[in-house]
Amino acid sequence: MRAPGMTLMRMPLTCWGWFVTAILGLLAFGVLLAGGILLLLDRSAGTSFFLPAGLVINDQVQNHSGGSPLLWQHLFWFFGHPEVYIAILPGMGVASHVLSTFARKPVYGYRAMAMAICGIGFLGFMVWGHHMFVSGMSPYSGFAFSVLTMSIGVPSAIKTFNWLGTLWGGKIQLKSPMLFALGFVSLFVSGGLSGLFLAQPAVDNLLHATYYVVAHFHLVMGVAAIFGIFAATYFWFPKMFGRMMSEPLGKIHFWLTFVGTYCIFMPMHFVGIAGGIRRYADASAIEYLQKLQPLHVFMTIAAFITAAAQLIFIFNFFWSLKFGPKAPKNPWDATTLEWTTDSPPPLDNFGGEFPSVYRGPYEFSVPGAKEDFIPQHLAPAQVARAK
Amino acid sequence: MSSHAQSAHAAPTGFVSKYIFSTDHKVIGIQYFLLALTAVVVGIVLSVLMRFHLVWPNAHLPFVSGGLMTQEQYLALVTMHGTIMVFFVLTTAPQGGFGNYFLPIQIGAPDMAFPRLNMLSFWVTFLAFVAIIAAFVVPGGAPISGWTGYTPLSGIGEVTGPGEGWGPDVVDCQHLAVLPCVTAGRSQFYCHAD
Repeated sequence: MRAPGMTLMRMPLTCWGWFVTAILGLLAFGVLLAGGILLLLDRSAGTSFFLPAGLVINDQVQNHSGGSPLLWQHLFWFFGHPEVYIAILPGMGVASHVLSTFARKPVYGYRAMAMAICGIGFLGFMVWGHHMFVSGMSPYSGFAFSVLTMSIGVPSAIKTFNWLGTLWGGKIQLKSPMLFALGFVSLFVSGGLSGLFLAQPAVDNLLHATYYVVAHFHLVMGVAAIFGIFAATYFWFPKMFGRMMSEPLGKIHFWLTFVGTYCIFMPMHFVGIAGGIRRYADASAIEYLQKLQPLHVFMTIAAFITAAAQLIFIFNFFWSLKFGPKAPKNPWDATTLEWTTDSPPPLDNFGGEFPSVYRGPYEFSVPGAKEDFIPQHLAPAQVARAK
Repeated sequence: MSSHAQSAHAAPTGFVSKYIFSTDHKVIGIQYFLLALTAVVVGIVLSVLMRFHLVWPNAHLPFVSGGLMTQEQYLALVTMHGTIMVFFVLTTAPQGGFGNYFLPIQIGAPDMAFPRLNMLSFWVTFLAFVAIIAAFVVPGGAPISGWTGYTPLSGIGEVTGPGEGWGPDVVDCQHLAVLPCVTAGRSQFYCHAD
């Protein structure tokens, strides 16, 4: 259903993100579905897929035999690890798209960026074992999962350096979507680095049940993905609802959320290294954890402020829906097809006049062109020249 | 492209077909986005309660029976925060919301490959969200085994104690709700591939 001329290598990187995410979803969710059905049968129909013989609970021997608790962990994480890429890949696409638009530069290494998304999606299916290093896994399997996990650092680093390359020497406009895209890159790197530590089984055995893991995944796939959602919202709100969001409120929202997020999750790493146990209701009664309580107080206050800051976003969203200034067709001087149609688009998206595509998605600051962006649908003859 | 343009659906007129059971990918995208916005508010409230309990474990809370939060209730917060955030925010908003809205427009298409399937996906996701919120009020309370639901604790049921009653069944049914994500994904996949 792609427009004439819209080859795969002319698709915006957002589409690459959604494309690979769709494939990951198709392959991963089915496994969770199967596991979920088996677990329901174990709970309700007396089967023993995940329950071994001789299980004693409340001094009662359970009437199950032959199942393997480890099987659930394998099924769950075979879904669970691709799931984190399902959350983050669209954000990567949005970050690339927004960074390029607001740096007024083509995405550095477009082909490498698209291939890195595919590479991350592919490798994402081979690393689920790193969630299970403490399950009594053989050291040889642990070694294989460890090496494969760290190899995801290669396409991730390609993306990170290409984001920096996109920014390098650009005419950077710090609008709200751009701030959140920059925040995405920052959080992805901060959270990704602790992933390299956790990828080593020897280190993971010590840190697995601590707040270090909580801090790691909240930064890299929790808040980073949320920043991708915020960047997308501020960027596309004018197209979706025909009105602009408030810039000052967006900037206040960004800084409170960005600083707040780091205030919550940076101290959490140190709580984890000091042995702070995760999923533990009351650490105040444990002597060696009592000295960490001041850090917990700091994180809690930061969490309250960050949570309250989201009210600014919700107010901005609904206020702008009603009272924001009317949005033009292309408020950001962007190049891709959604900016050629009305805001919001008509029912069939293009009012019956479907565009043809003549160029790649990120032709910003092309030498010799009159304007600093050339939309994808402009035929070569329509492009205004400087002279 | 003209053949695709002709196959695009006619403009709906009634309120229900236009805004609720719409097959327009743009309406469905906004529906996913608003669902994620609702879910993220619930998820943030749960996380604020967790942070509060970690610092003031002996504080009296007005909505907890007996005033003090039990350890099981804390674990229920952990579980529900994780499940809601992963399935109804991080999976729903980027792919279901923005992917639905902008993928067809960015590649120059009038809609997703299977518009009715796309609509069905959203409404199954919506039912799943209603089901997971219901886990708070069923006998035994919300599940306590974490969003990962590790067995054997999650596989045994009520004998393992409070928080292992109906709640995990509800959440497990919600796992079944990944089905719409599969159908939605297929719709988007064909949209690319064609």
